[in-house]
Amino acid sequence: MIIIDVLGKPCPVPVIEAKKALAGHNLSSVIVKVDNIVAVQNLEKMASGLGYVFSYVTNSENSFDVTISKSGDVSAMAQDAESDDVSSGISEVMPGGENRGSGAQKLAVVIGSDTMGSGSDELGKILIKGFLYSLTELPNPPKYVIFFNSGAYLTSEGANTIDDLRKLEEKGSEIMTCGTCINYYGLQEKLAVGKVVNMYEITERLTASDNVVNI
Amino acid sequence: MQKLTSLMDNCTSGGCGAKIGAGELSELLSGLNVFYDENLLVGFDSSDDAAVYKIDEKNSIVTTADFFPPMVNDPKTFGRIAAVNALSDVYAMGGKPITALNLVCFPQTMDLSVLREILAGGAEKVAEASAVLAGGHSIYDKEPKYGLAVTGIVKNDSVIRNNTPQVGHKLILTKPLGTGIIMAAFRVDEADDAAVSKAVASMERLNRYAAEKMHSFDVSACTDVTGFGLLAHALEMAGDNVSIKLHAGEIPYFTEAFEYASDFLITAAGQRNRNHLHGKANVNNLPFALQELIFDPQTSGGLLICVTPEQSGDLLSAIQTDDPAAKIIGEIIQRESDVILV
Repeated sequence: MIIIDVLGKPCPVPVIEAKKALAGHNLSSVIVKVDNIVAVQNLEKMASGLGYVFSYVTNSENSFDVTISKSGDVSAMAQDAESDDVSSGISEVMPGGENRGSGAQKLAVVIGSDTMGSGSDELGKILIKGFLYSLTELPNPPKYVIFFNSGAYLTSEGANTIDDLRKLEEKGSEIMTCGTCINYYGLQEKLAVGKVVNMYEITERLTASDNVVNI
Repeated sequence: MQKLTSLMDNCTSGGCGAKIGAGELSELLSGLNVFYDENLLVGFDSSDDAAVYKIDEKNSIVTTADFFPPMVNDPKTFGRIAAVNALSDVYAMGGKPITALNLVCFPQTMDLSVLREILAGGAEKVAEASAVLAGGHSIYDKEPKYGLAVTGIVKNDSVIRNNTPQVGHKLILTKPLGTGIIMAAFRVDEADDAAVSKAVASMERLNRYAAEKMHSFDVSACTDVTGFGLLAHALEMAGDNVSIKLHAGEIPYFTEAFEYASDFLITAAGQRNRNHLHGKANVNNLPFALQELIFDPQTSGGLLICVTPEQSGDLLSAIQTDDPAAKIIGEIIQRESDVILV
């Protein structure tokens, strides 16, 4: 992990520096120190566009530590870095095992229906609920769980799958629902977990994954 | 004291990207008293491009001011762009510029020959607009800034507001989007020369030619696309009564800007514009780079013209003779829950 101090540097500098660091070094994560929330938001767009995991800590109105990680493990990294002696510019920090996960296989689970299998819808709904619960029990949860078509109901208010999906999110999975599908079923105001993505982003995630499980 | 040699050396953000965000601005202005004068046909209460004041039964004057820090290193080019950008607001109101005043902030530590070049570039464009440079005001400042205060004239019945579009009318955009992204990439040495040349040529291009063509057509609204980006200017145009449907595939942009946005060469002003539009436009179905383009702050951007559907093809052809990138990019529809539909 490295720390990139771009306090006082205008966009797109923070995004470029972070992107270069993640591409150029064999790193699993970077911490980017920025001084405004707009830079945080731009870093988030880059991270989400490239399928990285994003989190940030607000130190003060003018100080934010953004952690961007290639793996799902970002727990408390930004806080850990606080204790490190950070000078200006890019400084190498001992990896200390943070590379764990960078070699892990990226798994995407794609769910195109609010039921599992064909036959009884009632049974299918029980099965899909059980499947999502099982995902939360995996030692390495999927990197992406992507919902489309009537699968969009599973991420919307009122679904019995929300708690399991939130648990997956806590474990580092990115939960994504197709925006066209949300609009089609009129669920715009109801998204309860994860974020809305377009087909371009879905395609990008799927092609960047090592394994895809299609339900 | 060391002389500053490069125009952009101590500038943090150039061009219209330096604008105060649309959201912050409306909050600021909402706390001020609205002046009332029956002759003030367009004031700041309507977020229009310029003020219009009726001087007699037939004529009004159009007044506006615009200035910003440099987004290019060549002083003459900067002068041209800043002048063209300032003159544009008069064209967007349907007016014709008559006089201009230089507005100058210049560092004590910078060579005055740089300022001479800036002013020469500005004067060149004021002349091209057939207006006259009538004076100005200059002060020392840490960052160089340049622009114009412009006065124009317009017939009272020819004033074109930015927020009076008619349902069914078509929207024409006269210049490609992406100057903000290209110039941001340029600042960090990530833009290629050809892209920068195209963006500069577009920013130096007066909106006079497109505006003159619009006068013989039935136009219901017009604005120029500048620092708030296409979507925020479209939002102002829609006002409270209509929605705007944009045809994403028709929006003209510089292909390099699309590439740079895909590489996340993205701007703070673009993100501020995105935040401003939150909840008013759903852009999630667009590719990420196109989203960035429609939020991209334009320095000296094109006109966004609202014209009857019957005349839209003819007006577009007329504009395209001088501004070939112009396109019909959308239409005005009945109000829906989203103000802008893409």
